[in-house]
Amino acid sequence: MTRTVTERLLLVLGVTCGVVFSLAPFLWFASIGFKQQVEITAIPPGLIPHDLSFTALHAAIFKFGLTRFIKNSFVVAGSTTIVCMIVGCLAAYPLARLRIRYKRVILLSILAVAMFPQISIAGPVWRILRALGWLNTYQGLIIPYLALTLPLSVWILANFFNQLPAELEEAARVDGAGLFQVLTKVIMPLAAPGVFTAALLTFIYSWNEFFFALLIMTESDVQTLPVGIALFPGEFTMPWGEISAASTVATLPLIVLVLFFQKRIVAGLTAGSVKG
Amino acid sequence: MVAYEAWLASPFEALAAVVLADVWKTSSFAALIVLAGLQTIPDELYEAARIDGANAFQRFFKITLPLLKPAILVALLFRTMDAFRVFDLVFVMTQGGPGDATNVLQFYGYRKLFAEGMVGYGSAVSIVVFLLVLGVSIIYLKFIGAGILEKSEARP
Repeated sequence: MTRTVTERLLLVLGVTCGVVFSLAPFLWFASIGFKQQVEITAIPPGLIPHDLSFTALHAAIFKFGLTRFIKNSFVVAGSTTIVCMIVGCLAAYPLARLRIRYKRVILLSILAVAMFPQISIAGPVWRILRALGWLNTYQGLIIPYLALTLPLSVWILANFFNQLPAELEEAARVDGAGLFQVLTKVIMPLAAPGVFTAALLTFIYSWNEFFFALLIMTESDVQTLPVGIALFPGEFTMPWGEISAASTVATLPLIVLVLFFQKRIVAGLTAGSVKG
Repeated sequence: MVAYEAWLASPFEALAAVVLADVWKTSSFAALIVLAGLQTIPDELYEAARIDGANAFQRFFKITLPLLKPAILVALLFRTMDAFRVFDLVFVMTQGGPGDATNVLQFYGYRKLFAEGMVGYGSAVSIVVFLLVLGVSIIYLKFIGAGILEKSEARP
């Protein structure tokens, strides 16, 4: 199909509008983060900083402990992702392959669990963690995150496993491999892209999660990035520069991840439903 | 001279601002899912429609939209459930105020349970939220989930 010049112009215009619309918030706080203090509160606000200033970033790191939040976020999101993939694969494989009674019901309830608002489980989770003495600990946050991220991961993984040809496993079974061997030696290498997608989504979710992080991590030593940054404002101060600089730093890893793996993320989210 | 107005200080505008922020934050996600759906529509359909003399509007409403339905429904499902549990925006932007203008369910429950320490009341709120979302989930799954499952189970 060839396009006329007007059609092409309209296309470029539309795409530009879309990109600017989506990127605007990020660009805006990136710009605020590197402005000087006077410029931040200027009315009307300027779009681009006149002089690049790193005082806000400096203050975010040394006054508010930004690096500590980054470390906590990496520990929590990283461990959640790793454990979630191990448990998720072990759960998804039988759901995709074995004849299990009520498989449909199991899959439906897994999907349904993923949709519940966190507040409906927040109270019990908090009380259990308090009883265990796990408030303000990494495992106290990682375990609820596992419960929250597993359903979607199992769903995505089961869909990927489903798409692999069953003959390969049958051949392996005939050669005398056990179920577990089939999973680790045949299925896992083939399903690597699917596992990767699920891992990415899990990581992004646990990196951004706010509600449970706020409940469970009340001490700033163990807080993750979203909560840490949200609690920057003091009683009488609103450190816009520091918040923006920290948000820029917090968003960068995700932007890089998503830019590189955009296609896989979409493929994972829509697995089995759109491709059909 | 433009008059500046503090949106978050008046009830209606504060609610509108939270909605606007959530839409802004998540519309790209919906766009991604719809894009994935668009990529599965074969070009031949459009060529055939062109040859039959369908104009751009007809092509959009008779081909694109019907074939996009599954993708749009998936996006709708994800977004409804996410919007039900909006919390961080309210926490950061308004803290439920002014008054109770932006006091969404999740924030209300959080405040009763944790800030005010009313365990019984807060738990009751959580159960109501739970039932509400259960209802919505069942309705959605009846319409969308069944289709998803049949497709994934139909594979050998």
